Amino acid sequence: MKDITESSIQKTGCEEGILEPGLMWKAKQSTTARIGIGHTGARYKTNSMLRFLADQAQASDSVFTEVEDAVIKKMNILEIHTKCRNKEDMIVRPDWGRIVEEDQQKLLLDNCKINPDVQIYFGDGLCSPAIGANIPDLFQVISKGLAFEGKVVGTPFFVRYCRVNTARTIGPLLGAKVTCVLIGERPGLSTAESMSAYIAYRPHPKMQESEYTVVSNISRYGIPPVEAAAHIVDLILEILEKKQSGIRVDL
Amino acid sequence: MTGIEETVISAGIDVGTSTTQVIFSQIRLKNTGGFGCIPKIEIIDKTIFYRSRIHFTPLIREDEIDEKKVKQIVEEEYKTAGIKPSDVSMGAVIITGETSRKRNAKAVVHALSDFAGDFVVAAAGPNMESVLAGKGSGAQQLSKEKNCVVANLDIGGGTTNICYFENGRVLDTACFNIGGRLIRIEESRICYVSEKVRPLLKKEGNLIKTGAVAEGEVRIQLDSITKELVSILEQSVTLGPKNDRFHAMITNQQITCGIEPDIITFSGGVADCMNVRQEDWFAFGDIGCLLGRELAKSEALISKHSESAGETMNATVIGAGNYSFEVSGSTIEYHNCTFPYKNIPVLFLEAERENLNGLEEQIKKQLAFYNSDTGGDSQIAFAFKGIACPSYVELERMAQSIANAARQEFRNDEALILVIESDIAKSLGQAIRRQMPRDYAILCIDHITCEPGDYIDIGVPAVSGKVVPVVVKTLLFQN
Amino acid sequence: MILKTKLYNKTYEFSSVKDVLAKASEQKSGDILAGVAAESKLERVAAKVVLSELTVKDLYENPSVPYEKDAVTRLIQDDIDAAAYEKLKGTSLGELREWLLSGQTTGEMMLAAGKGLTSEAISGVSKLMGNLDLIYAGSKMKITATCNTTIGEDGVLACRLQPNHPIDDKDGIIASALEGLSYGAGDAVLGVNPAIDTIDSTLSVWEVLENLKNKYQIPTQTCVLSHVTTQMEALKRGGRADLCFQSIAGSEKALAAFGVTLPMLSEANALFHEQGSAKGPNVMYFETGQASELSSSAHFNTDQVTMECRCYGLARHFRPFLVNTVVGFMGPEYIYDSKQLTRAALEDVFNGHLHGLPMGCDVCYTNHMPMDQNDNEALAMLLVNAGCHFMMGVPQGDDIMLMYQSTGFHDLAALREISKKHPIKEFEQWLSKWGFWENGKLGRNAGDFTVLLQ
Repeated sequence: MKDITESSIQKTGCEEGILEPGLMWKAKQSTTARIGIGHTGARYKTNSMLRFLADQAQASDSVFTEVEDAVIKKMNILEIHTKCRNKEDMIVRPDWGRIVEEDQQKLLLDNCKINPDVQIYFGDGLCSPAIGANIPDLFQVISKGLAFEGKVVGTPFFVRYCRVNTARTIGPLLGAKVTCVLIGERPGLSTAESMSAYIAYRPHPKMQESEYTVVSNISRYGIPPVEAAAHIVDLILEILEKKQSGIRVDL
Repeated sequence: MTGIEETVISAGIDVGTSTTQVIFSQIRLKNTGGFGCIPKIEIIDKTIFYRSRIHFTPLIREDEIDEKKVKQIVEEEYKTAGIKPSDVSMGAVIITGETSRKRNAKAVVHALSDFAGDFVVAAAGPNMESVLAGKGSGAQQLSKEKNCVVANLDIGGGTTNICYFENGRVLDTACFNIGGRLIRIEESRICYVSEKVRPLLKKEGNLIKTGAVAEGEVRIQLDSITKELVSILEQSVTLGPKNDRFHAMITNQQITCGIEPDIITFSGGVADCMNVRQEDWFAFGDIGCLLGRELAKSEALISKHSESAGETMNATVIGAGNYSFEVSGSTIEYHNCTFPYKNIPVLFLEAERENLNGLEEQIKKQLAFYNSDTGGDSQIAFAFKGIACPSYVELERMAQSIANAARQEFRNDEALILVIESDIAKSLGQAIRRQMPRDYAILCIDHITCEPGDYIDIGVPAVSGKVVPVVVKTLLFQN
Repeated sequence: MILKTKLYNKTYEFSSVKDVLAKASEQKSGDILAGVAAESKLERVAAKVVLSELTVKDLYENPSVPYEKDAVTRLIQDDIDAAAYEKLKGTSLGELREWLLSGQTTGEMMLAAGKGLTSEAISGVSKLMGNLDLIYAGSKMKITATCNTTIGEDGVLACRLQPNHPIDDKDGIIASALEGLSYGAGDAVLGVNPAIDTIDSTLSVWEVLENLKNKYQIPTQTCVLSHVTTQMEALKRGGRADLCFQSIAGSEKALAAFGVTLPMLSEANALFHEQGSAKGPNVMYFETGQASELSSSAHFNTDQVTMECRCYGLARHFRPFLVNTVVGFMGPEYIYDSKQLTRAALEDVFNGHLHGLPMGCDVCYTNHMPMDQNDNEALAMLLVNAGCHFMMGVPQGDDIMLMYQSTGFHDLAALREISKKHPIKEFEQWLSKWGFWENGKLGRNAGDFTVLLQ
């Protein structure tokens, strides 16, 4: 059977009973919203209902499944976790998702380069598949780019049940000038692999959210990971130079 | 960066068969990417703020443009508009119609473009003329709004440039030797008959000769010629069976897409003569009014005619000023470049997933072929579609092949210019830089579509250096 | 005032009225996160027992944030109708509940009483009501408000058309808007959440919506949901729109986190009366959502239902045309699942109504809540019965800009058919002219916006 998720939303529609199908398809080109989908009575056609279910199921699964051990093993990196014990905690305790307890801090100190120019690490956040899908390409390009400019990149690692604000602890702990968290985004429908980069100059416990420079929508459906990575290289170089990050810095 | 905006000035200069015009526009560029988004710089608005008066194009003799006088006209218009050449960031000079076939046309257009501003390019060729006139007339926009095929016929002094648009996209172009000034009349007497109309003259009993008084039998022959010209225009947009005179009047190519347009629009000087009620049919000293009248009588054309495109007389100059350029993608990479780059020939590569293995060889072959053809001392650019979302490994392989070939085949004073369709310019540019000598000049841009045989102009970076303006001079339809 | 009771011989004691209110609340993950929730089901019931004996006066005298310290408290207390309060102040919340549910009590009587109740009192009584109580009592109240058209008439279920686009692309917004109109959405408002909060983008989206409204002569109102200061500036620059939007919260500190003050809202209200294009008199559109105060640490150890009620206390001062609780957008750390969401939505709509507000509800969820569209559809059915004024119309319920799921155009059409409710009258006439809605259901051209493009 055909994979119903194969064709894009913009190419999926229902011409039945439409006076000018050409105009409908044209309108669909301007938006990824689910329009031009027809109806049966006041309900959805079977195709559009099934497509919605598939997209929502994928989004939901991407939140509630774990990043597989094999994915981390393949990258050959250290794994630590936050105070959360499982996905359930992760979802209802955002405060725990930013806490890195002492034993985990020790693991980092024992295994990571101290005082690098740039510390990059990976977090599952609200989208586990984002790690396997994006990190291999994203990290290689960022670290090669920074190394080429003579910057010392810290030891990468994975944080399970990770929220962005782990950076407030991890940044100072490892003494990095710039900390960059690559983390899974809360998924929308059809964006169940997306990742964001949160970049901060010398993050600290009392920093403002607005001090992060953010690059979002990184995935093969959005900004290609390698191109996003090249953009992130330039952002980090500029942040290092200006010794400041966030929305107040014109980057 | 969010919402950041920059306004630049663009110039359009059209030196036509009979008239010369200059316009200036403000082009607003804006980063439309929101917070947390990768920059996305787009042209959000174009406003023409200065239109020159219409000058007669000065000629020294029939086959030579008066270079000095043209330059003087343009200089004066810059002065009246209060614009210095250094204020102008983009735009185009175009020599259109019969004028473009004058002996010194090329030299004039280059001299003007050098004067007019750093990145005012020299546009040439009937195809580009057709496209620019079609865009400038508003026909492109109309086709987009109505989601249909619109054919614009820009009928000037020497040529008729035709461009088909389908939902905003250029579909086909054509050019015919049909225009208002093919035959000129001074004080009731014919004073000039272009070579181009020869195929339409009577084999026997032709009275259309210089010196003839345009009355009586002569006038009857003139009317029949203009009728014939309109009939050829009908044929040109597939609204009538083609005859052998049709083929004789083709400048370079006819429409080949075989589609009947839904809407026809007219621009150019003759379009303005369609509704004129003339006492003196030779008020402009040519057959423009007669041609306009015949055009208005053509049922085939008028049944599809729409006036809603808007621009007539100014279509080409607006096309040159507002539609000759595009902006690159907003994540690009450049290093040690000397902008602008003008008239760079494009060598086309196949650099997609399945061609990665032989990429280095492909580049070398293309270069060898090009060099044997030209002597190889000019700057070139490579263009390719590229992989839409490459892996790190694919990216590195692409970079390595390109860098290897460039290191071996390029001279040191030559920049490595890559023009890519897929959104990978910054990552590929950085990857290549890692493989090349530190100071090597590299320019890597994306979101630009080129075809084999195109020439490209690349301007000075704008909007905090995030984008470059680009003109692709396509020879696409010229086979 | 007694803050202590026994259940099954175990004593439960509470430290304050605020503590009673919080522990009497139905379970919400946000109250747990804030550390104010009951620790067991029995403790929750004990709190309800204590709450049922507290009087309207007890609640009036114990606002969640002190009068001296908070502009929202001052606004709420100063707005109280003294005569109505005098009549009710000795009534216990248990008695108030019975009076609200009584067959003798009409909707008009309820609304008159509501004017004498502080937001804490209304929050309190809702905690003594089951889900069906909230629906049963709430459905009696008729509340109308008028912008260009009038919302809240009998038998009407209205819909906000929400044609959002990730980069505010004009054509994209128009495409979704036309699709929505063809299913009967858009009588409450044509309202876009802009991706970029700037004066320029507000002006440009206003223009898109106003052009649509004027081109097709649609009897409705327009709104762009940017920050109130952005809209004011855009209006001063000559833009045209009907409604002024702002997200609000239940304490001065939480408002500050939104960059909003009460004088700012008064100024906006006056400006839109003067310079907006609405016929009026109601020109404000507020959005709320339980726990927005907690998310900015401005909840003063108060439970989220009570803080939400204080938003309604604030809102009623400005006589808005629409108030919308975006109930499922905050995330599972505040409202965990379908059960909590259903409860919160019913509370919000009832509590808003008792404040005299034309309440709508964005029945919605994010993908990190353990929920799906079935939960959403069931809640929407309940809200129709609860007298909810309007819900959202989003293409198949998938908002591509805000990245969450809401109710779809089809859902609103189905809800209207099932419940025999109608769009706002003039809008319904407009729909039937185009064949989108005929004889109480989707019409011959439903779902085909291309008829509008001829």
